[in-house]
Amino acid sequence: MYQSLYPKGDQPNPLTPLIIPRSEHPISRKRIDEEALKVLYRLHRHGFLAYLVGGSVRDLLLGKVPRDFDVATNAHPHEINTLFRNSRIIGRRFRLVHVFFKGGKIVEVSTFRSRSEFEEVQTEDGNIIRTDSFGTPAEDALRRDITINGLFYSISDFSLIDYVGGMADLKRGVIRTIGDPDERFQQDPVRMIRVIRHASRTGFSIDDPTYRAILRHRDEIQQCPPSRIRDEFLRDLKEGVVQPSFGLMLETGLLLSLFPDFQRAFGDRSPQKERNRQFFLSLFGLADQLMNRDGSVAEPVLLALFLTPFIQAITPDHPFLGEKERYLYRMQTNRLALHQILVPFSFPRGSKEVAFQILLTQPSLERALQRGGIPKRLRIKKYFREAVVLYGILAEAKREKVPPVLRNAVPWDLLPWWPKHPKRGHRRFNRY
Amino acid sequence: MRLKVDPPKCSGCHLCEIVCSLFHINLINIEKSAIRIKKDDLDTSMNTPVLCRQCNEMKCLDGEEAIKDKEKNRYLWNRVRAERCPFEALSVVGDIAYHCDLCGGDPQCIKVCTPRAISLTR
Repeated sequence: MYQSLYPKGDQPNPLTPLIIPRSEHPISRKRIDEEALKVLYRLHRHGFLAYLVGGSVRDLLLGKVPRDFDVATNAHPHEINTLFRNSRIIGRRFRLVHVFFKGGKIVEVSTFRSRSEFEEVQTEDGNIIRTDSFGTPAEDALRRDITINGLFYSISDFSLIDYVGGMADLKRGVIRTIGDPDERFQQDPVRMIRVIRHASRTGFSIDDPTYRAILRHRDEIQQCPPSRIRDEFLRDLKEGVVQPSFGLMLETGLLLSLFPDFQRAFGDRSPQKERNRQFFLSLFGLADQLMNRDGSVAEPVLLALFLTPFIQAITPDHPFLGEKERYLYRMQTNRLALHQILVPFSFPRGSKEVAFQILLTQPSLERALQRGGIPKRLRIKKYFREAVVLYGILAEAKREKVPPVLRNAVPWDLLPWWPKHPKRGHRRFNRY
Repeated sequence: MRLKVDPPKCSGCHLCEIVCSLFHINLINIEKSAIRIKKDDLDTSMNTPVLCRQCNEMKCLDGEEAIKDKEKNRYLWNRVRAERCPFEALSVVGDIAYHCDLCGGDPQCIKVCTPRAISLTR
């Protein structure tokens, strides 16, 4: 039916998938998005193979609600484009089709490929050739990064197709790379971040050979384009499972390979290594709590939290400085930290600036609270809310109490651990 | 008896670190000295000498059945104690922490500190 995965004569037996019929798996069409089903059915009616792939199948099997539904087919992008009037071909090197629906919903349809998006193939002159290398479903399953993401749901007979042993790994609760982990991480080191993200998201453990391969290849992550690391990293930050993910990254040393400057706070030479690590993880534990309640936490707050242990490690205490000099000193140190950690990865400038401002506001906020009121010049700042969120998280991590005067200056349910129904008296702020 | 530091006076010459390691381990290795000078990353001339404050209530010994006076006179401590110190005052190399034993009552760093940034108080 399909082309053989291997050139004729090289391998005697092409890969045979494990096919799990509908009666033996729990995925019902009721739980699949209506629009994704429309796309699948139309492709199937026109004689193409249409599979639901990737994270959506994994989430459906785990009983979660998938965030997006990806479809893979053997139709070429232009064929998909002609089938759906509401579609657009996107991507220069890795072409796929976005099918648009009402309410801004997008279903991503891609053609089976034999090579991953980020495995670059260079010609003899060193030019990168286009990675549009269409392949068979088996090749498409094998190019994916981890086994539990390599499952296909076929719309023709509602069965699950497993080329890579993903079902067994789902049952065992194991994250394993497809193929040899050393080879896979060498091809694309960003896969290490993805393995850690999936492990923390699902709560599964990382397979031993994969874990050991991460330890061996963690320093290769520096060779990746910074923009890709930034994208993966921001995705990590916004996932709501940052604490376990950073815990694993610290355990494997991947975080220190990504940000070598963090050696100052978390490295073996730091006398407060353990305390700094615990503090860092507790900060993100609280951020996760907030994220799971509200759905998102402002990016500048996350970046500021990320920088906090580093800033604490590099700023010596200079009690003999005057108030103004101390402010200027702090400003310079924060700017330096921002420059050293975030600039190489070109994080969005707006977020960086707000992160800088809210970090700088913290001591002013603390001093104002000691005086018993929040001056208007602070309250009218655009970033005041973010600054209070950061203050609240830092205070909770240090087990300090936030005075009611600060809680009254912002919506009372800004942070989940604040008292539920505060008695709100007459709101009065000291004027300066 | 303890050493008092006056950071604005410190010129950052590292002589105190050199003499500390030389006195205790017969080696010039500023990482293995009980005093260390924290310089900032901004390249300013502000240096902060950091060393054990000889606290009365020794948080570093929390949970240990150690005799305080005996421990105060020891130069080599372990990392666990350094991590308990609220002032991050001990230098750590590997699992060993270096603690100021006041050189048995005659601190050598004071002798070499020409700007007089370190002094002995009671």
